[in-house]
Amino acid sequence: MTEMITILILDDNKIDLFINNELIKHSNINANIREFAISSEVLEVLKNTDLKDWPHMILLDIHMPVMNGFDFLNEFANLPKEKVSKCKIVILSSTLNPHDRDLAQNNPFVIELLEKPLNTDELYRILVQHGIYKINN
Amino acid sequence: MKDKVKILYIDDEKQNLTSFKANFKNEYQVFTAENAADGFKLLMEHEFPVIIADQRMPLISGVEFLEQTTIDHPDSIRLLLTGYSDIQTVIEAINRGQVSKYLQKPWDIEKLSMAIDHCITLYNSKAELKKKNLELQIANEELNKFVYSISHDIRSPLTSVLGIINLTHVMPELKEAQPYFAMIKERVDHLDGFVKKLIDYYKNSRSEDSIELVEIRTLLNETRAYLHLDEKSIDFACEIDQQSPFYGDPYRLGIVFDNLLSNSIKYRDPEKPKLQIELEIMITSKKMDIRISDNGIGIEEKHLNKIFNLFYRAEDSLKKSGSGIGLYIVKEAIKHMRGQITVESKINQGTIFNITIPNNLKNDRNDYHFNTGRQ
Repeated sequence: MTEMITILILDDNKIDLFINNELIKHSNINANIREFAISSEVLEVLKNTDLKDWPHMILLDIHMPVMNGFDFLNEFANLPKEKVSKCKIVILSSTLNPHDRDLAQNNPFVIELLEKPLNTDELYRILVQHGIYKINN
Repeated sequence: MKDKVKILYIDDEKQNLTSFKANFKNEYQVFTAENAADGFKLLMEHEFPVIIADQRMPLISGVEFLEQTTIDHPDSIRLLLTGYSDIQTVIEAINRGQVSKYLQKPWDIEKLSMAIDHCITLYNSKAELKKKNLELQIANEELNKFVYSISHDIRSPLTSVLGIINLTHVMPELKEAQPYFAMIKERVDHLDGFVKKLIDYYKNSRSEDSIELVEIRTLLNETRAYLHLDEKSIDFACEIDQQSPFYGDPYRLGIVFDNLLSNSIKYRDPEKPKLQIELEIMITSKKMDIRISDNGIGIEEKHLNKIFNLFYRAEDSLKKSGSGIGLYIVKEAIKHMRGQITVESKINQGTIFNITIPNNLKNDRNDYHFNTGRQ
């Protein structure tokens, strides 16, 4: 077994949260998953979380009410550096807007943009590629 | 009542100013200045649709004065009063765009009145155009927002459904229901694909042409990955003869490849063990020739001249999940690139598309890339 990682999922749609949680649970990714539907709650929780308990990755939706994915990223950037650098962001969205793609590509925290529905093989590839998931030979 | 139009007139001869004021004060709000300094002072306090200057002044010429006003008052219309001897200066000033009009001195009232009228019309139409452009820009931005948020809101529940179907694959107790989930997936994929095509259509019809260096191999690799062209049941042969770099619109080229190749996959012949697609590309400094052929079900001759029409679907294609929009977008994208597309097809044998797209390579680029590419 590989080491357990923590993935935080932020999506205002509860059904999508459920789907993504289940899909990861049934994949070969060994992860502890935390679900959130409200951006500001995630920021609040992250502020009060010790570095050792920080998530390794956030799966982030773009279109959310009040604070959308990009607003969230702007606030996220203000959190302590050593914590922020521990956590990689993957955007998971059904947007077709090239402007969203540009914003995602130019954001320093975003490592990839995935299309919904979540493809766990892709997610696994990203986790390995970015060294979040280390495979023991 | 509408405010009178403000006019600034600068001339070192006091007499001219007085007579100008006397003639035009009923029609316009006339401001006069005897020197450039007073003129600039007035320009700081008011916005003048029309600025008039005499060419011959002691410290600064009329052209020089008018030239300086272009910086802070780009929208004003400038009128120069001058004698014959300065004609060369005037021509140059008009050609540089700093002066819109000139009038020969000594001026008579009727001609000057007409010239001022003309200047005001010019000013108003420029202002109107500016306003309309701004409105258009705002309308465009709003339409963009509208289209993308609608497409997102349609697709979002579809992707949830597709996600749930993916979830059923890992639930052994739902094995018996899989054929039904497969049907749901097919229909949802169809609607999702249709929304994506509509967005392609929207982007293609509205976005401006962008000309850049196209890495044709990279572009094709993206298409390959997107369409899963490397499956075992597909023989995909691709031959590229690149004799020159190609400058064009990579986004529209992508639309062409995506749609034509996905059609080859969609309308493959189930009787044949393998789908064969051959793609031949030849790029010269003048153009790119593309030939895409497949061994699919083919298209009946009677449909051939209609397949590029919007929402046209041949009756044999009705069992497939097409929407009749793909080839239309292909044709429109090629039209934007000033290219051409033709089709040949034989039923049960396959279809061939021939495309020619001009290369937007400029001559100076040509030599450089061409030589380095052939070392």
